[in-house]
Amino acid sequence: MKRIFIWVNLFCGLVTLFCATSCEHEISVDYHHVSPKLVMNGIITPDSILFTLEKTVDVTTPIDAKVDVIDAQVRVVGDDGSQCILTRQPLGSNRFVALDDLNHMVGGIYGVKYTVSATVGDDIIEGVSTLSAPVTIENIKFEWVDLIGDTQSLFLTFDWQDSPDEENYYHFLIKRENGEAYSWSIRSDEGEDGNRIYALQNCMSSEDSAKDAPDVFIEDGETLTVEMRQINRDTYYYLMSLIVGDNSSSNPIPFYTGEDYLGYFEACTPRIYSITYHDNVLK
Amino acid sequence: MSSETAFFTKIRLNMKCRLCFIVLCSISVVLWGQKTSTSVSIRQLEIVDSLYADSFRLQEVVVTSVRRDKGLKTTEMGVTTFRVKELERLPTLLGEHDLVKSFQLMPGVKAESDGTSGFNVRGGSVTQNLILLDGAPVMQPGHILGFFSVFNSAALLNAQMYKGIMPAQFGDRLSSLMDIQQRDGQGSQLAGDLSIGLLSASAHVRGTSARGHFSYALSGRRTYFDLFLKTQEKYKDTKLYFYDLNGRLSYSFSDNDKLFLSAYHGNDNLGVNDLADMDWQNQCLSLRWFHVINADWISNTSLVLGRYASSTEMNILNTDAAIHGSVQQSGFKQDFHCQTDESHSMHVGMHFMTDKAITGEWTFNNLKEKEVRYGTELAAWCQYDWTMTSKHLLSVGLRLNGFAAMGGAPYYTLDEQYNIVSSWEGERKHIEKTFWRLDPRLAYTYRISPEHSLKLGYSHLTQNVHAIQNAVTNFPYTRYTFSSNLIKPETADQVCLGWVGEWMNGTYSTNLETYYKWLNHSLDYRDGIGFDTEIEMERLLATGRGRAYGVELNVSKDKGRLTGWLSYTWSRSELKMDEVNRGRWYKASNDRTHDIAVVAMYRLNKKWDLSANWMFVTGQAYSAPSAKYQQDGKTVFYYSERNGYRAPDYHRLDISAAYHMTPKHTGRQVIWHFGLYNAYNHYNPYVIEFLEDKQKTSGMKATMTSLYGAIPFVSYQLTF
Repeated sequence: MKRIFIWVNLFCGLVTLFCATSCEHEISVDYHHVSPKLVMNGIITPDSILFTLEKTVDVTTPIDAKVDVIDAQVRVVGDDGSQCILTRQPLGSNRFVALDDLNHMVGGIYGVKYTVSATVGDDIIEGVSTLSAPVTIENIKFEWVDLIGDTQSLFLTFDWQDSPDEENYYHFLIKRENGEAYSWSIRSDEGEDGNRIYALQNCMSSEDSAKDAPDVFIEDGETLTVEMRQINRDTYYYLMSLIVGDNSSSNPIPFYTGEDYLGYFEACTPRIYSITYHDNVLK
Repeated sequence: MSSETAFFTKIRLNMKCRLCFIVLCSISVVLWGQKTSTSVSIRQLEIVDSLYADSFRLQEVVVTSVRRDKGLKTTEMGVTTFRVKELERLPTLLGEHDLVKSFQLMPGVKAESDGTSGFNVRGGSVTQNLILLDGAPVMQPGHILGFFSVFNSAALLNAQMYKGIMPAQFGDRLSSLMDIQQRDGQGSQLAGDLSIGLLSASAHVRGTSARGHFSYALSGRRTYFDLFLKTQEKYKDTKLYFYDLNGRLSYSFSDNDKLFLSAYHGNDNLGVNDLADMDWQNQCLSLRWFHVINADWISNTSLVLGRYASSTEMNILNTDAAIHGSVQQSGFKQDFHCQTDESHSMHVGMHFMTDKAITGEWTFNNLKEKEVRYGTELAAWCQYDWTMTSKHLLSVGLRLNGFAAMGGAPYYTLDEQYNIVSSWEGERKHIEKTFWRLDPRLAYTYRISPEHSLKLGYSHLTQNVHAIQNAVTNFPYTRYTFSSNLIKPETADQVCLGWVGEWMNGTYSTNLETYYKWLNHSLDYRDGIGFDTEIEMERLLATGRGRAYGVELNVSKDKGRLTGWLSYTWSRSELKMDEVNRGRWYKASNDRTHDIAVVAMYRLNKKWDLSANWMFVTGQAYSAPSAKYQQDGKTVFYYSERNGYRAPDYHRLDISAAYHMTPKHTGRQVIWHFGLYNAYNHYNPYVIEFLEDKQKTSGMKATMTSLYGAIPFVSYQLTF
């Protein structure tokens, strides 16, 4: 349901641009400085546990500028009694992983609720997620849709079977061949309990080119991957608020305890699917 | 002066000295045309204009400013009156004389942005304006893309805006009252206008029956941009139009009784192939019985209806989505007006309204969600205006507002995370929650001299119909709800102090006002929450308080070949809510520090009118990121404060010329309007976005989208 307005806004934007003598140009903004905030992202799968601890950077600073998070410890505790302390690897990086030789716990188990707590100096960040079952995508394809005039839009469509009699939430991440993030979205089974669920992700328009829209343009013969995850309710609402915040310029609802900590983590069983785009997809 | 008073004056004249009045008015009009001062009030002239438009043709012989309500002899504060006929001299967009755009040139009234017809008054939001069309509420004043408001100027007689102290007969909105009267057909067997512009055409006819008991005025307007689109194969299935219809019928069934029926219907439609369809409608209906009880008392009994509905449907591949929403207010209003002499005037009355809002009805494939709210309003008022002495004038008003949130729809309680703890649904007639509020009004005028007055006012206002707009687009996705067990009535206390002065025998006038407003139970989105996050509106909203204050100055030149005004507003509008901006004060999105408008109209000769307006408004407050981080390979922005940044300033010059001619072979007046909107082609902010840009060192850029560059226009108007 929450996706409706994203589509509607897309439509409004097209109509607005079509009708008005509009103009877009770059402007300079005098960004305010804020003290860096802690950001923890992570994933617990049956095969691995990986977390990153970083800090926000100023808007004008390159996003990959490394800000050391020192004096940090990340602990994962399962409600089945399992626990481990993650190891910073490689040393000096902001990545924390579970190593087999130290913890005898390299991944999660389906149905176990994991509490992750990170201690960074005086800060304690804590969040919870229950490891969910895998989801199998059954059909995946590209389709062009006619919009206004000669303009068409390319959609990636896929579907899967929802498990009946339970609330399910899904998170899919689309990546390029080189692992670079392309787009992501979420979906719930609200109103579709036990049904086949169809998802469509807008990719690029027929007007886009590699030069003008490198972020969305897909080359002929390029392969994309779809990583499908089933997620918890709290994660779904966090990701939804991230989408809303992106449109309305506000922060997402906090995933971790305390308002000052950013990011989230998922305990899930991801499945990865590939699809190659060809220009001869029917327009 | 309200419309009721206008009729009161007219009927009283009917009864006492109508003929004498008409003769006096005729003399006054002639004298005024010769730039001699006159004591005839604008409202009296309006009555004459309305009744005998063909005979007098005021606009042809009088060079006058649009703004003439100097308010020296009244207690009214922050009131602006427009005679719609006079709007023709103002520059317009695409040849349309738009009432709302004209009000936006007055101090304290700000356009929301390009692309909308919404307006903010003294720090209030768009949804805090009460707009009445012949007494019926208008919920959404804009048409497609904001080019036009829903008010077809051909159908209107005049309009007043109260941004200060609202009379007690009116309420249930915190910011302003825009009271619009439609034109009726009195004074001619058959008359009308035909207007054709670049994007739209309109027609207006009016007339009176032979015996003068019955009159009618009908207007219609439609855009025809879609007709051009259809000529191209690739756009033939694209819909993009609006139309609106206005009608006003009146029937005098005795010297003391008159019945008015007014109606408005407007419809906008946007559609792309079978992919998407968006439409919204406004409907207003009022039936009013005007009755003269005796020489001192008159009665106005009305049935009113106002309805707004919007609908969007989309079908892309296997995904069907639809959004519907509506709000409706209907009811009965009774007002008695007593005027025993020039010094005492009183309104006493009540109204009873039933309200219904579909706050949202959504379909997404098999998922269907709907939230409905019902409400009942009861209000009673007494407004007393007293001219104590020639120097002291006093207005006192008291309005009792009652609102009941009615059953027939689910209500619920929430925990601290806004999750539903419990819900219940009572019977339709069951009252879930009742609110009673007393709204006092007070206004005092001290006449320092015949040319100068000092004014002081206070009002308390209550609003039980709440609305939030989509924060993302300017399309009319407004969701409405009512006060409930979770949402308390919004209230506003306003104090204002003003000075009105007249100079050089009324050639120049000055109006200076300052105000301070305290707002309680104001609403805004919580962080990370959007228009469609939940179907239950109360789960989206944070509540808190607000304050708005400012100074408004208007200097106008009202006589001579060159007329016009200069207005300046300095203002602040701020909100404070626990769940937003970490509980700190933040600027409301309508906070604009400086607002300047310069309007000039010049009558070159009998054939040519020239006009221009220039406006400058400080950029809108908006939220921009202060930091960023990565998540799943994408950049996410961090916002340290809400509305902590300023968009670039808005400024624009519009120029126009009107050429009047009357071809001998037809004898009918023709007016050609030529002009240029945004003459120096300044691109003003509409949307500011922050995007990833890997070609930049910072990895991001800020872009600003503007809607309108310079737009030339021409329109043709035929009057018969």
